[in-house]
Amino acid sequence: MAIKHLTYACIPLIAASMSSQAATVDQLNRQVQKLSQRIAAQDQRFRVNGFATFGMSISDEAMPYNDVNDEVNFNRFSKAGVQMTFNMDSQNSVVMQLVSRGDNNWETNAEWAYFKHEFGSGLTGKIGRIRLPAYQLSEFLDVGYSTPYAQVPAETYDSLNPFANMEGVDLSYSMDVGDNTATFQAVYGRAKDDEFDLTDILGLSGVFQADTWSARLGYAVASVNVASETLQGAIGLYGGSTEGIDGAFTSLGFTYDPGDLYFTTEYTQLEADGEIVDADALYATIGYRFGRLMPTLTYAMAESQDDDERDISQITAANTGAIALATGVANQVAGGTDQATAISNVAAVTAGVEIADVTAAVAGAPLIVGGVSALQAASNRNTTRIGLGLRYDMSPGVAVKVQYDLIEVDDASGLFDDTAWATNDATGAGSSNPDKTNILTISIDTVF
Amino acid sequence: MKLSNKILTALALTASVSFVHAGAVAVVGASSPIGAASGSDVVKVFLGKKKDLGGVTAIPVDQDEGTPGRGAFYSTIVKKSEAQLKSYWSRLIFTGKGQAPQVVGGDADVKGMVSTNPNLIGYIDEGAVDGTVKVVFKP
Repeated sequence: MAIKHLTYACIPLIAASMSSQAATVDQLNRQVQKLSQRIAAQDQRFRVNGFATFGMSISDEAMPYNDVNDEVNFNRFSKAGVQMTFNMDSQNSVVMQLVSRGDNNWETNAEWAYFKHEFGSGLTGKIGRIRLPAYQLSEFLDVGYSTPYAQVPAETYDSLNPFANMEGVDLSYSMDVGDNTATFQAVYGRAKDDEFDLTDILGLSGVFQADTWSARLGYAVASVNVASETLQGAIGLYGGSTEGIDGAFTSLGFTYDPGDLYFTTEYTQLEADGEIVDADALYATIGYRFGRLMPTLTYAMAESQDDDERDISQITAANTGAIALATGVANQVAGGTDQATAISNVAAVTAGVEIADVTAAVAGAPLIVGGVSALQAASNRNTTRIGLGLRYDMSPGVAVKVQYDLIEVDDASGLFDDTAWATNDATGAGSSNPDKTNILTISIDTVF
Repeated sequence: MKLSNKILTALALTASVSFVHAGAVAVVGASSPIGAASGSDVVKVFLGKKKDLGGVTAIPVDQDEGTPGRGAFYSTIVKKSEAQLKSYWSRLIFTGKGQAPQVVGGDADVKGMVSTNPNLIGYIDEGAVDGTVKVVFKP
């Protein structure tokens, strides 16, 4: 009885303490919300995003094609990168992207490092180290997860070093066209790799992004300077220029991605004055999403358009003469004459030519032939690729891909190892150069 | 009797399940100046293609991956699978063109966030709508 009374007496007390507790909880809730907003703001200020591809590739051919041969290779297409974005305020930010590549001994490079300013109304400016926006996939080529490929169609993407970054400025303007978006981009700067130093690059591109499709036109011109001494030497055999060569690049891309069906294609054209390769390339990929599985079929081709400019008949008169003298000596040696006598015989019957000249020609001719073969092997291409791919979206942010490529070349090295190819050509073993290779690539692509 | 009880319970469960999964709706705070919006505009805001609704800055907040609200919103309104969405954002993120919306939790967290910031827009299950939020788009 007494206990019951006590209990009743307690009710108002409990009620009072409950309402004060409710007030405290309310206060705490608000504090938590403020805190979470502050954390969100902090998170917006500094963002880290990562991507990685780990894979293996192997072919059935001993001569490497695009650096893949019949020994299993875990490095060729493997890479890991982090991108850090520091937002100073809503208009200004700094972006850094660090990438380690397997085929570069996993050395880490700052691929991108730029300052970005939003002028408002869709106008954005960047200055620093940026990706040269040559191709349809240029800017996210490293992010394997964002493409259907275990390796992108190299016949197209190798025309310009696709991983080349440029130092310069970028001005982009984005506008709404009804429900669609049009983006125009202009870049100016300089890009360098081991082979070429491209100065005064001026690139323009326009992208039209609709709900289910997008189209892109890219055009760039640059002054091409040959940086590799081997390439300089080879071009010198033709008396060609190695500096300030006019180069132009055009890319036309189209992607249709309405949901389950996926189609993408890109046509590129590279043109440069003189002995540097002019090449057309094309790839087209069609795929269909069956839930998490997406099989794809890819056709790709590349063809150089100016092989005649690198024909041995185009080398300088002096080099042609040296080869003629060496051939004369070789013919006599083949007929049983000893080399010294053959040299003096050739000198005696050729007007204005001394024994020393013939001796030099005999020594130099193989180098000339070797240089011509090297330039041809590095430039000429007549390749087709049929690729069968399967992408499996294991979980959001993780995709496993398998790709099988059948590659055929017709009387041109394409992306076969050009040193090995040229050595065969220069030593008369050209017929042992391969005409096809089948490549298997398996990769895991992630973004995080 | 027992059987009919069971049937009733089953019916009630079914009803409540279908009520809980009535579908996702886009919401803003009850006092937000953001008004009714079209489905395509809401989609654009969540895909980073649009930064305002009717002239008012609109910042999207997402639910955690795996929540029923997120599944319903992206599959029925945005019409993208989780993998397609990841692929879409990775292209924007790694070109410095945009960032995926902030992820804040579930229905309750979204309501908590949007009710304290008039510029935030989120999505919740229709059944979770209460006085703290207003619906700006319902499919």
